[in-house]
Amino acid sequence: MATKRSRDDHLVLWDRFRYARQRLTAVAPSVTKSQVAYLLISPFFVLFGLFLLFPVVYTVYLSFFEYQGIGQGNLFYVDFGLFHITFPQIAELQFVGLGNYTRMLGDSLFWQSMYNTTYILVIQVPIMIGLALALAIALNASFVRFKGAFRTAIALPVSANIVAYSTIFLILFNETGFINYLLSQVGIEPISWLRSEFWARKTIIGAVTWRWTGYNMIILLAGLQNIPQQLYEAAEIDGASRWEKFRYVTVPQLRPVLLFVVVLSTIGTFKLFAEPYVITDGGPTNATITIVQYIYEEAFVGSPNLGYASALTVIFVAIVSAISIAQIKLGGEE
Amino acid sequence: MPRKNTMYGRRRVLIGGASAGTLALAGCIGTGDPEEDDDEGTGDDTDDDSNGEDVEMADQIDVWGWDVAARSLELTADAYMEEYDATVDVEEFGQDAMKEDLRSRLTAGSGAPDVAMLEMIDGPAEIDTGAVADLTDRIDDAGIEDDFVSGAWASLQEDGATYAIPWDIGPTAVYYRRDIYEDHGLDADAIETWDDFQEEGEKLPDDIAMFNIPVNDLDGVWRFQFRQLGNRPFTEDGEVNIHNDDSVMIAETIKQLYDSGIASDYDGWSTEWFNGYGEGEIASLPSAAWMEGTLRAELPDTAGNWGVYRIPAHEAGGPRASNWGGSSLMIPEQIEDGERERAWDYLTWSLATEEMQLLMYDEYGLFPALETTYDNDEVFDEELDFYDGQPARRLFADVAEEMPEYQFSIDTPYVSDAINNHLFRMLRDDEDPEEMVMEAAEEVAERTGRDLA
Repeated sequence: MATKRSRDDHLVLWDRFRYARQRLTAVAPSVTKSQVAYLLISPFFVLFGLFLLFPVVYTVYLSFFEYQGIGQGNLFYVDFGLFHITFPQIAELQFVGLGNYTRMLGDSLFWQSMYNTTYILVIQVPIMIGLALALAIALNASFVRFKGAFRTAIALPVSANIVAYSTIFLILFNETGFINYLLSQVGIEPISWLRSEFWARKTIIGAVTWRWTGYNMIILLAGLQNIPQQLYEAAEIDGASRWEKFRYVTVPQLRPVLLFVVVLSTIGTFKLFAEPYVITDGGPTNATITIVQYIYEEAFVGSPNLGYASALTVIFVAIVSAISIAQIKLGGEE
Repeated sequence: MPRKNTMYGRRRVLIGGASAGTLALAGCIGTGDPEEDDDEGTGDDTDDDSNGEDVEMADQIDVWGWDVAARSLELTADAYMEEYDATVDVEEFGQDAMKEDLRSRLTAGSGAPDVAMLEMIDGPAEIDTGAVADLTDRIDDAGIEDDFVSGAWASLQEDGATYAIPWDIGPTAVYYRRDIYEDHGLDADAIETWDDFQEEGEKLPDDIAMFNIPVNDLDGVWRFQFRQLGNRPFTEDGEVNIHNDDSVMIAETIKQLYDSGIASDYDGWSTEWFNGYGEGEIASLPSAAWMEGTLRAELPDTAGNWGVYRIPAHEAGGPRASNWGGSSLMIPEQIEDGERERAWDYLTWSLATEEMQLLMYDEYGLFPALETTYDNDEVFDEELDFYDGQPARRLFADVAEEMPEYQFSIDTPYVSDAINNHLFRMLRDDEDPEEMVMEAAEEVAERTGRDLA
């Protein structure tokens, strides 16, 4: 009994579905084959437009305005008789033209944050990539044993959560932290890691290098393993020394990978945020505040200066793009 | 097949025509709000719901706070739910987590709780978002303004409108370890000025600090003294005034105490800092009434060893009352009318009734901004075990009634930043106090586009 009834229900449901489908096909506008294709890929573009394109465009738009609080009313509405859709006004804005950009020129903290970021970048990226390359070459050498274990150990830091590892660095490098304890054991005076401008920047550089060296090493190692062995053999037959093999075989062959690593690291360090935010909070005396941290503070700490923060963001993106393009142009030349 | 096609066509024409017709008839697209009877466009955030008797109160509201403050709101919520037929859900956060989350929901225009905690120092910045409901008319109708300490309102107001109700305040005092003072012959009663404070502190052996100077919170140290001497960071005309004679004197005092070697310099609230007080390596703690709750919770072993005296004056006979910290409760602008009615009802129940304020004070040490509570001798003259029998609450209440008014502004973060950095440099690099204070003022002027007073 029970099974029969459920089968009936099932049939009724199926009929309903078929009926609904018929009605839908009858009502829906006909679409051509190519239109179907567009329809099927449209979700991506809708999401892309909503969550990427719109924010980017709106950021540029905002950079010409002064933010004056959240929007109170509605921008416009569409009335369909039975229901209506309203589009709320996002924010109260006042047009200031290029005001936000000219303000930047005279903003000492902006320049300070640019200086800090550049300082960290110029020291950190070469050290990290040099280190990563050295480690990759060492691990690529045929005589090294337990390669897998070393590789894993060196690459592991990248899996650490940024805030978690930054907090550990904060504890280690504290005035009374473990690092200073170790120094005192070998008779060195404790160092004010976080209270001196010089050392605070070095601490940040150390932290970032610790986390990302292994990651870059893995990429470089993959690049090294792609270099055909016969090139080295040919160089050896020509009597090349170890340095010459590195200079004239490894480096040119590794160039695209090296370029990739340099560009990625430069962008990564330029948009540094979490480490200084957690370890030094931008201090001491704003010596480690980075450009992204400054944008964050203008936008979300204290009174919201979303217009100015947007202008800073536009400039920031422009600088990062310029550096990346320059690097690719310079590095890509044969 | 043809039949089908014609049906397509007919239906499409019909639907298209119908929708076009409705759009045309309804006037379709417009600006502003389609509901004409709404008071949209007046630019008045108050809404006309302060005559909200005709709006029915919602059954449930969400309340946000952090740490001890959230726990104390749970107390009043329980009492409220027993009394009224409504649910009040209190959610507890960490301080930074809540500030960030709340800010994003306020500026996004949706998702905010019905009642939220608002620290007084953040008052002007949050009000500036335009997302906090104007409570002026409600406060006037309820007639509760005079029930609160007058100094507590300033940071919750903008252009004559009030946006939050004061909750707790932080009358200042120096907490001291009675046992340490006794062991080394220090006399708390002999301390009237910072010079006396230093003199007494020098009696301590080298491994015990008289007090801690939190080098990460020098602006807090500076601010309570700046207020103690009756100053405000900006003049009536909006000029920067953090470099006046009082400010220089405060910087000199801090430097003198630091250089005398009687102070430790741990970061405030750090592990070392708590350890220092827990293990008796630091003898005194200039702070505010709310510190009692923290000490009771974090260093329970020290209960009974503490005493309080008023913060020292800068010159003999000078003022010894100020305020450090404090918070309020506000209602976001975005919530529905029903929720707003309930939120207001719960908010006044928690903050404007003596019973609830005293409950929170007793349980969690949040010193009431509700001045009428101070008349309750039973509570305020109680001899407290934590203070070895000292009726400390009376001291705090006296300080609260004497403390000068102070006003935070949207530019407060710039002042904090500049003062903190420059006083830090003054201590670390042995810089001249007057020069540092001047530089700090110039920095604030530059970053806020203001003039120097």
